[in-house]
Amino acid sequence: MLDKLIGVLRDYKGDENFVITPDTTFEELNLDSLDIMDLVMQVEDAFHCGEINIDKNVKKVSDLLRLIIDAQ
Amino acid sequence: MIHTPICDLLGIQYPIFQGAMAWISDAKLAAAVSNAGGLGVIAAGGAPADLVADQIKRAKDLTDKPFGVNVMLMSPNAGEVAKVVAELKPAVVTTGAGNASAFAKMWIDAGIDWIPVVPSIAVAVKSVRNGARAVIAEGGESGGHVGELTTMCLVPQICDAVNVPVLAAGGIGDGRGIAAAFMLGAVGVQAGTRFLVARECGVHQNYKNKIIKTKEIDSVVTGKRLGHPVRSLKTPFARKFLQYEYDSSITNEQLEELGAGSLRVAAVEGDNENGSFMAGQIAGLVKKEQSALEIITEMFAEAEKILHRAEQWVK
Ligand SMILES: Cc1cc2nc3c(=O)[nH]c(=O)nc-3n(C[C@H](O)[C@H](O)[C@H](O)COP(=O)(O)O)c2cc1C
Repeated sequence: MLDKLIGVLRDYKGDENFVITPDTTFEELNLDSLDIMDLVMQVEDAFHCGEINIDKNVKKVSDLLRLIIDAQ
Repeated sequence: MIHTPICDLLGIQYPIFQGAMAWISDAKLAAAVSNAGGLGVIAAGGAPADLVADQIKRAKDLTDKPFGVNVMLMSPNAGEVAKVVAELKPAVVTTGAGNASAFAKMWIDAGIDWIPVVPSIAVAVKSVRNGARAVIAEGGESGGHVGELTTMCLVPQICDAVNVPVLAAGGIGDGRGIAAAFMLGAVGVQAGTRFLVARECGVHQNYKNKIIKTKEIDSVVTGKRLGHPVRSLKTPFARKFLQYEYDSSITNEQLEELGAGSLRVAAVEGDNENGSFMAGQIAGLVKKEQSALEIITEMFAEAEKILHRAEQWVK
């Protein structure tokens, strides 16, 4: 699942070689709040999961992964 | 006569919302707009729930037409306000920046039409999935908190992305703006700045005078560094804020502190030095104080004329 998420994120950044680990933060991914909403929708579609609600506690890729698991 | 699906959806005569304005749009303004045939919207802003409840009850006394309440999701009181809204059931609830999904179901179950302001396609699509009856696509020309895109570019793209009625907001101040919004695919508009000078608007007279004097180049966006940009008039306060924003010795906390409460200082106290006079780029064409009824009827009479005239260009 992590690999799939990293794939979605790399796709979103348009950079296949972007180094992404569970500890990568949204800040490091250089995403603003509009990007994050947009990304979340793509993640929901990619994982066919329920709604993911990003809040202030979601800072890293691993946090997002946890939300995806909860939403599945 | 102009009549669109949003009129049928909400039972209003003119497809126009008076945009919520924190500290400014109260029951009196909202009721005046609703009585004039539009949809007035009470701004909850950062107010506590009991105050918002009083305003909703007051509006119900002042009009039997539908009106809306805007819940500011970033307010620490948002949860309580959301509940009061669900209990008192205004016809419409609008929301701005932030995540409304925690409350959407409660409002919809209460029979309230939830109509969020959206800055992007993703937010619009997500909102519709969560039950939004319509969306307000607001461009960065607007006053107050602003998004990245312009109304011209945002509205048609949102219209393509969702299957609910779209209202356009940001930079709409007269009939030309309404006609243009319709050409972009919107079936209604939301205006804030133009209603600042409504006779029934209780904002400080200094604020109104400033809007009336404003030229097209007189607004500026501050707060980008903090991640929540705001458009306001280029007053001493805005210039100072901008200067601090580019000063790396000033911390974000100091900046936040400088901004806190500054809209109230402008709206309630009319303080020309220390207030943040939020207003949109369209303020330059707002030239006089009028009643809400005059504003709305004038805007739509002009829009109707223009929409008819547009046909002349089609050969
Ligand atoms: C002084 C002021 C305060 C505002 N406060 C709010 C608010 O509390 N909540 C909100 O959703 N929008 C707020 N807005 C945005 C308006 O509701 C509206 O969408 C916007 O003014 C439309 O653009 P215009 O100013 O170009 O007409 C505010 C706008 C102004 C000018």
